[in-house]
Amino acid sequence: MLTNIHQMLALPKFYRFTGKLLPYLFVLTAGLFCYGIFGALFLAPADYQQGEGFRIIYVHVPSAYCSLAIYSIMAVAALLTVVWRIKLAAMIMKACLPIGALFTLLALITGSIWGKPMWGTWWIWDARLTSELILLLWYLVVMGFQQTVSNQHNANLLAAILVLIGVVNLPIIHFSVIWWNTLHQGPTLTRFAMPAIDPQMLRPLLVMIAASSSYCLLILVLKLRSEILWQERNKQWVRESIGDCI
Amino acid sequence: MRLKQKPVLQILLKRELLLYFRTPTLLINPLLFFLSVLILFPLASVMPMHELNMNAPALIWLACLLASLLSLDAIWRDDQAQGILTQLLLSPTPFYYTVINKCITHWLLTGLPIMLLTPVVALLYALPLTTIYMILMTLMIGTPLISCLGVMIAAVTMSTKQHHMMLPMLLLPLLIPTLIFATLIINHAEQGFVVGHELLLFLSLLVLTVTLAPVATVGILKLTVE
Repeated sequence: MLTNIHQMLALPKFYRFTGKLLPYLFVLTAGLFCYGIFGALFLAPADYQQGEGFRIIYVHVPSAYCSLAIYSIMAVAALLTVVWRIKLAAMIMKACLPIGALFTLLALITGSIWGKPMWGTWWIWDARLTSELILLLWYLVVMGFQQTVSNQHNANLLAAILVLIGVVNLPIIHFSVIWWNTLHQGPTLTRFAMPAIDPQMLRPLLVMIAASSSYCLLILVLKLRSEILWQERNKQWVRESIGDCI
Repeated sequence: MRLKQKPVLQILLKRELLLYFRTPTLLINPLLFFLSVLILFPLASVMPMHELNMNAPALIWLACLLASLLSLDAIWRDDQAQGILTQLLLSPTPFYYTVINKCITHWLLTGLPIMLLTPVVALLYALPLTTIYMILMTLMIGTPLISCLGVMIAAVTMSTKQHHMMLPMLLLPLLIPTLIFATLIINHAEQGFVVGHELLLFLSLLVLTVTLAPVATVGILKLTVE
């Protein structure tokens, strides 16, 4: 069992395995997006209160979901980096950072665009918005930090520690959600939690979330493959496989 | 004859304090910075006095955060440059003592003086007594928290090239919960709510940080200093 895992984590093996996986992942992502976007724009009925404007939910919620999901994946990778010093885990962590930052930014921007017509303001210092902004800040700071450390080994380790520190910060932010809302009434994003969302609206949403997740995975795999090639550029197996491509 | 041994923590603390007291600028700079921010703001703003009053707690807290950053940067770097850090890591005394000692020193030399200065600043802003009391209460819980987190992040940024930039960039996001708690408690107290449970929650945040951050700092320094 343990040797199996070890073999999976070996870089050449991983590279070859993901090479086979890539076309399927690409088709899956494209298919899910096609159905999801079609469903979001045409199949789902307009909201009785927000009209057609609510459809931005189909971009907003998946990107918010991905921003958190990627952070969780990154945290697991960070733990593996700190405890077992797995080379691949450090690469996963590094590759996750820009993807997560991008989705967090997308969630904030789409939320802003949605907020303007519905709430009448681009931005409000609501707990949910603020915590998402902190998440973006943390993604960017860790990304910037990684480049300032001269020692590569230390850079991975310290970045992993920072990612783990960020995890400790998350529940604290969530406590402040409860605290902040008790004082600041007014518009909040809790309307998402409305359990009675119509199944016709829900289905495209779930498909879009699946599509975004599969897109994240696709980009992650692509970034990992190029990172592996770069780090192993002097190895024999890389020369062989690149030689095949040329 | 047996030598009477002093407790390690006491020796370390004495060394740390001596180093600071021999270079008094290190001691005074954060406080001067704290004061100048609070003096400049009323001059720069066009707010009437009562609005300035309302903003004073937030302003004092922000000035406190920024002033605490000033003395953090040198906290591990000097020891590392002189090779003392490696000696401390290699020595048989648990390294945890050194970390705790750094936190205590930082709090004694920035957190505590800022707390002592706050009543004076409050006079400049004509704050009512209850507000001053609440600001002091939140500072009492918040400043050790800043010190513990600061010592940890200083350990992380020690080996970076742009450490002057990275330290505030990394530390300030971590201090957002502290800032939210502190200003919220003061605000609630000003409006006449009972804030005992909120203070307790803030205190639990402090307990959590004081328990975990020094252990994390030990780990970080042991992993990254060869």
